[in-house]
Amino acid sequence: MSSPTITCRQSRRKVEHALRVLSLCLAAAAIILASGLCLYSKSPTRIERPVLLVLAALFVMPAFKSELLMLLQKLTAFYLVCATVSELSGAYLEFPFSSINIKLSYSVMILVPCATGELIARLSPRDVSQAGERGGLLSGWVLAFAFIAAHMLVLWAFLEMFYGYGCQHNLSVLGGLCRYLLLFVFLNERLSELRFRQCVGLLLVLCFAVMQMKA
Amino acid sequence: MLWWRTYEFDRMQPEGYDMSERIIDKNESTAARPVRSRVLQTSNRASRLIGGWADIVGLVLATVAVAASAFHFWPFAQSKAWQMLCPSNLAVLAGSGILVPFFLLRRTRRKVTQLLPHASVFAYLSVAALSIAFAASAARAVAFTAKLVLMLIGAYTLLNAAIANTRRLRTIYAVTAAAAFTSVAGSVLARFVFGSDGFGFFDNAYKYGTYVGILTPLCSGYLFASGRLWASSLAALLLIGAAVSSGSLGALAAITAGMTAFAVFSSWSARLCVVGCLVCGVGLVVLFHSNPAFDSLKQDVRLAENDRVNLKQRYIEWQAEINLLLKLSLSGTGAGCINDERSSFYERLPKLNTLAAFDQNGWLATAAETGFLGLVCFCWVVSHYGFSAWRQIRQAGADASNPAGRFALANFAGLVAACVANLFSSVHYNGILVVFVLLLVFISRTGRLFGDIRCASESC
Repeated sequence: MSSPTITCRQSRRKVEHALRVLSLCLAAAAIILASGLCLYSKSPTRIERPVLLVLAALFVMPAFKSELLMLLQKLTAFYLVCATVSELSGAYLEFPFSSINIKLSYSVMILVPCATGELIARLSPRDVSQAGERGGLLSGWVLAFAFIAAHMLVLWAFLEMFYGYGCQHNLSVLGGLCRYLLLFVFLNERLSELRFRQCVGLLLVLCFAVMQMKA
Repeated sequence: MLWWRTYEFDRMQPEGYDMSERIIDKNESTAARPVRSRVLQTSNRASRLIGGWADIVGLVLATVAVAASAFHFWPFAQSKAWQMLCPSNLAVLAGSGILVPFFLLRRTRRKVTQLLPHASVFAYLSVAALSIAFAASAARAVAFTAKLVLMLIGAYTLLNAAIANTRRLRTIYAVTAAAAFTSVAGSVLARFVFGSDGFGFFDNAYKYGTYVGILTPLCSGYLFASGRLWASSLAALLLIGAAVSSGSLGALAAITAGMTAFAVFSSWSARLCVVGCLVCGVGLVVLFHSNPAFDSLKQDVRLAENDRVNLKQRYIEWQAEINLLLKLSLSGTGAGCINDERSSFYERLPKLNTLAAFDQNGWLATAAETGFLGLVCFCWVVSHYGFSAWRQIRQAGADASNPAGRFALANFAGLVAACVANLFSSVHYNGILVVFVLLLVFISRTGRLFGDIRCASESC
């Protein structure tokens, strides 16, 4: 193989590596932000036993050979990240201007860097080894969304018929589901990386340990 | 001419992990027969779980677990201890107790690992376990999660181990059909002969409805698909008996949906039988609607409460669970703890008290207890086994002479019925969950008959 070809491949590999690192950094930054905000939030969700979440975060860190354990680690890490993000639901960052009051949801602030990281990661070749598992979980998301939406539609019709009002919260519930789905899409591949998972695990251990001490 | 045909499992070869089942055409030349018999011998030896006494005990326990489910919590329905330690649960517990040492031994661990459920089941259980961190009552959440683990892993592994070959698959189907007949006969006798308010061995219309709602399409489909007159007569009897004796909308909806799914993919003669039986069952209900035995069904089908002002409480409960999701979207109330929190989420809805304490929608209850991620994982379980059942139906349709098509049709009907029954009740209920797990095992086992590699490599 000629040396220009090798040089070209090496430089391409370097670019791909840099993109991967950048996408991981962005996702990590989003999770750090979520954990930080979670610690300072007024905590809309009641965590009765943070110690269990600390243990779960510790489970995320070791390197297992079993595919099942790796899947469970990834899912646990995702659950814990979602737990920090769920603490921010209903919280907004306000930018009061003279005439208009702009509100920015904290969730958006978490989702944007994750989405940017995913976009950057898509510039390099993707890992297709876990496509089956990803597809299976995505079918679960679609089915869950369909079930909840169908229930809401039926209930809206019933409530209108009997009481003359629908339920105004219903769309927010679907919005919450979409938020976690987006987070899943953006973080799924990042959480497959052992080093990233270990960083996230360590961060979450600290976050939930502080929460336990505060409790 | 095919003069005999059999299936065998090759799933437990010492080295590989080829779960595909070979269909051996017995019309092969005599010269090939010694080779075939050698294959059969190897397979029979390999298909045993551990071999010897453990294999037989496993089969007996699995049979007891399925057969005893027909009696639910009879005769001590009010005793909490009996509810946890009823014969069905005890059989699963004992079976799991036998399997655990084999799992711990390195020599036999691989064999036990191959019997475990799909990764989606473990994902669901891990989310349920994590939700304990958010539960107000740790004891309740831990007990519920332990029950889920026992059934979804213990019962699944036990039943999977027990069905080591096609003959045993047929045996377990027969036991399941006997259980369905027993519960339907008990209910018919109790309600129409003795004039009781109960449903035979079941004291609650929803529990009975979920049980027969799942088992009737499964067993009737299996019997109808055999094409034999006696089997079709039994199926018709079961179907009509279940439709007439069911006291809930959920049961009727599940039976109708399951049998419709079966009819869509079956032969014309089976379709006619199914339609005839459904018409007969519904016709009998309409004809004798003034009989007091049908009061609970009439009340359950109505959209309004008795006061004719309020919406039926079932749908108010559904909305309360959706309201709950707004606040506890990720965490839920904790596994099994929905009843502790539900009353705080009625908002502008009226609080009625006309229903027995029972989950009125398994899908929403799962979401409300374990959060969105729990519902997603449960949907993953259903979609994984659902796609598998669908692939089997397609394969059976492509090869009409394949006898395993009978299992595929019955399983698909059963899964559709379970999904519909879960809309009006919950498959997670103690005593009902074993039936849902049995259905998953049937789908997995039938997938192996079709050589479905996605089924074969289900445990990672």
